[in-house]
Amino acid sequence: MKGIATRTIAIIIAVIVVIAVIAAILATRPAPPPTPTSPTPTETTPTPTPTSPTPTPTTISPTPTPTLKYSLHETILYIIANEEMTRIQLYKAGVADIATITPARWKDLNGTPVGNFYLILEPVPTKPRLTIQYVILNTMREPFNIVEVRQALAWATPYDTILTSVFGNLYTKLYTIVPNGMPGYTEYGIVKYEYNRTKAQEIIDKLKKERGFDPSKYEITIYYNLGNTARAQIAALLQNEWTRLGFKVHVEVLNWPQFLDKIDHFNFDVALLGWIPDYLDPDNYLMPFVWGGAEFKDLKYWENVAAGDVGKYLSTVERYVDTPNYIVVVGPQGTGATYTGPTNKPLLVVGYILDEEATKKNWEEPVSMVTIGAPGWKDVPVSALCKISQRVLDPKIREAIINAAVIVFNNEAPMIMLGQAITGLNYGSWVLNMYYPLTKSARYDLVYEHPEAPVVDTGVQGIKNDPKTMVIATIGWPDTFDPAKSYESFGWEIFDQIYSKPITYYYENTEPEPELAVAWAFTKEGDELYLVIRGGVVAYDPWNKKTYPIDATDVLFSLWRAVRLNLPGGAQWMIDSFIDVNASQVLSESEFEQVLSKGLVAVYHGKSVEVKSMSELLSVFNYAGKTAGVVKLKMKFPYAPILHILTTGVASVIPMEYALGDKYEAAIKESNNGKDPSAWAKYVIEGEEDETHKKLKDYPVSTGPYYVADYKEDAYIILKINPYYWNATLWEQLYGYRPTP
Amino acid sequence: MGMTSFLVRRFLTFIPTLIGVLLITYLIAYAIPADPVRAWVGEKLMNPQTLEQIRVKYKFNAPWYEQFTFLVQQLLTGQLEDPVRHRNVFTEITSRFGVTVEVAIVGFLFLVAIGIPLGLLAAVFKDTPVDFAVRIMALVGSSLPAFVLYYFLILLLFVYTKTTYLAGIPEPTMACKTTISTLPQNTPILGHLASALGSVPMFSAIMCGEFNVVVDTFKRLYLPGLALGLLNGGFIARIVRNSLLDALSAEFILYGKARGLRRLSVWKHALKNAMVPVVTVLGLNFGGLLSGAIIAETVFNIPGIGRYMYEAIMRLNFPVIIACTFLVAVIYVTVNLVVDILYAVIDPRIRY
Repeated sequence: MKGIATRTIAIIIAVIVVIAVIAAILATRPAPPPTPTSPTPTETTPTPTPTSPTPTPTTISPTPTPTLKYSLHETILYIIANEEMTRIQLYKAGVADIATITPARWKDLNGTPVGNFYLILEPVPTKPRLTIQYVILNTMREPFNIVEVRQALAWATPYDTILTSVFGNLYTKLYTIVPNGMPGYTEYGIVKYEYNRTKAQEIIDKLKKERGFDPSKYEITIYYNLGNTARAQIAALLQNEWTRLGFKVHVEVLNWPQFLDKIDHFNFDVALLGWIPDYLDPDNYLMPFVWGGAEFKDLKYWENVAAGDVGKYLSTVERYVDTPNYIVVVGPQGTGATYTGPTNKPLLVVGYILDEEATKKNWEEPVSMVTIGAPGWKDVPVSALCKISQRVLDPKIREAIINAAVIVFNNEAPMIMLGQAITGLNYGSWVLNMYYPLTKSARYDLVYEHPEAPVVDTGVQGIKNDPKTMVIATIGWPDTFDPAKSYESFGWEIFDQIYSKPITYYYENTEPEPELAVAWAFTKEGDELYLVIRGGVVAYDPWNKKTYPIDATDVLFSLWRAVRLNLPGGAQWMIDSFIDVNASQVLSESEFEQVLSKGLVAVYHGKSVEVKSMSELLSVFNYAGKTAGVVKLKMKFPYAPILHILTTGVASVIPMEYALGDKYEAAIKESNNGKDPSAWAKYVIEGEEDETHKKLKDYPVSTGPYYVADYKEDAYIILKINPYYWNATLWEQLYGYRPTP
Repeated sequence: MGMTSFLVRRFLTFIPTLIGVLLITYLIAYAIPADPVRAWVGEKLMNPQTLEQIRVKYKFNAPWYEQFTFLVQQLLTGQLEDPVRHRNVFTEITSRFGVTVEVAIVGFLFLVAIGIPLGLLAAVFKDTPVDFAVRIMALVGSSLPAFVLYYFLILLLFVYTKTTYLAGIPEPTMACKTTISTLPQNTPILGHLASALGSVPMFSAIMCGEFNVVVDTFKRLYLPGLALGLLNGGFIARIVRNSLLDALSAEFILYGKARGLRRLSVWKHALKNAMVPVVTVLGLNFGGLLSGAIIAETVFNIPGIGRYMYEAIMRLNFPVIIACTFLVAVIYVTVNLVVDILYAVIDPRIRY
């Protein structure tokens, strides 16, 4: 009897093991090729219609096939799954419409069937993005202070291998610090570094011969951060190549805090890093990387200067750079310089007066990207170009100055540019009209799904992922829901759904468009920017089921508050560096008419138009609706990219009444209706103990298409459609959806 | 020595143990040559003055013993703040610990349900194919990388059969949560106890009679529970087998058999004696599960204490590291104490 029982149990265990092995083999089998039955690939390719999500759109039609009825995404669910394999399973099971997947796995997942649909993970080489990958050479250390050594290393870098094998073709070639797609990008006058070890060796040999340079006496350490497998591979490739030039090259991996510490304090030789700009302007590359830490007492430029007249403006010519439209000549202000460079183009002369004390201070205790650019490249004339480019409003002059800085930086190679990201499509084929803005996130009320999209239980609060629900499986957690504090991509993605900003972009366009500001104009000197605020906007407080009207005071308060709080790690510098918020103020329409009568310049769609009345200004922006006051922003200096900054997360508009609660009335009164914002300092304190911050970091309100309905830290965030959204008529036109407050 | 003096003595040993654990953990973290403040604020541009403010706040400019004292003081007064999430560390831990407790309970149930019966079977069918199979399972469970089993189970039970979820944690209704949170106002002692238990969503649901939430919780957590049970069950089975075989070969069993005790009575005595080491191992396992199964929480997407600790370690988040270490140390000393008390319950010969 005992024997029979033994055998039976043994057989059962054996059967279980066999079933498990078979299941394991089935589970690990490669996915079959896609079966593009329905919908067809042409439906899923994102072809964003550059239409305006304003209340009066005329040509929006999200229905390429009239027989299909599309639904508005009424719910957005972010599932936090920090493990990539888990996100992949969520994607394969149809629980997620979009999942964050590293490029190395795209090939394997592309085409994986999900019901009648499939996963799309494909690079689009024709659409560059603004993310760049690079090697920083610490130019404050030997041998990287020698230009020729940097150039030799740049020639000895295997770019093609890195782009194909490491970045899986999700990056494309990049030669300059300002990438393709950004104003100021140029291929004129640059060195196109390719992998050419012979050339690299020739440079080193020449150095040996002429200056007695001995590479074998240099021990170079390449640092990268733990867990970044792509950088591990790049480091190994560079080690191999650079060792052949005669250097002793080591690779060291550090955990993130240690890595950052070394980079910040220039305690490294070579480091591998990447960069995503905060806003759409080349200044966001020049200052963090190219700027050499030099400060200036004065910066001036003179256009179309005759070669013989350069000596009238400069004491010496320190650099001249041939750019597509100008020869840019740089040097200290003064007289007596002799210019001997080319004269086949107009000369653009940039003169500076160096602030030696401030510069010395920056150089004495250098902090990367704060007191000097990341490679520590102390080039004073190029620093002057970086600084003056911030202030020049004339687009042609500005472009020439930026081009000049970019060309010199490329030629002297303080950084080795590895690649520029390209757009990657990443979604289930049932997701339609997906688009990829350069510096923002897609708004999911403008993205829709195939009516027969898979319907799957998510496991979160009983939510089913159906065509009315967008589910994103992602990593991390927003630092905070307070726009005055958040400075990371996940937080800003949420803000793109729940907050309106003064200015925005439509779909993938990069032209500033009205959002809560229906029109804007600069003074001729560029020292003041006026924003006319949209009327009829309300903010929704889902926690107390209340609404608050939004006007110019709220817009100014939102910007002012970010600066006042000065929260650690926040993005307030993007406002504080350029806008004097305490000298800014709210104007009524009639007060603004008086300002307008002297003439302002409306800059819109690449055109500058002088306007002298409100109706003239509004007509430039084709707006005829109600307004809710005007915000005057006092600039610390003319800064052309300010419009782009007003599209970012830090410029999200929140209702002042919600933030201040019962102190609102008093704050309004004491500031004389926003004429003196400094009076608000009594109600908002600096730092994290401020009550408005404590409220908004956990309980955000909404001025955008969605509101935060619920969240559980590190697990999920649920956004619901905002029934009080100021542009809800758009949904009716797009989907026939009418919100019911 | 009575139980009371034993407990007093054990409680007194807790103090140096906890201080020692905290100090060693802190010194290891402190020895890492990095700037934790820079890691806390992220990789973006940062004003040096702001960084300095944070350093001053957390006493990073002071000697190590001052930093340590500051952190311990903040910990003991309940004021320790997570510098990355800007919330009280205990609030953060409480919100995660409830989920970890749920995973620990489900995992423990599977562990017991798999380990003990298999151990008994192996002992009963000693040196037969059953015994070999159980021993092989124990070996595989100990040597198999956890994630391999986890992903296999996910493929089988989530992707293909869709019998569970990988997102969210079922929670009781808001009305239930409100009721539980107001209990301390009405009945101070029992209310506080109920409120503390209520931080575990499943317990709240039971107290409110929301049994559908309990069912959903099992549906969500059975997969990680099964995985943890399978991984560690083999080891428990081996312990049960060996202890039982040891007990069965003991002289008192021989004596019992010689006296003509019935088979069932023999087994009963043997089992009771065999349970002492089993309880020790089960206790340690339960302590381990309560401290957060980091890999399981990550792979099965459970927002528990393990993931929180992992992130804190990656960012050198000293306050969270200290608070979590404290929690884990308290769990272990408490579990050990409970196990010691259980010895006396299981084996009447053991007296304190």
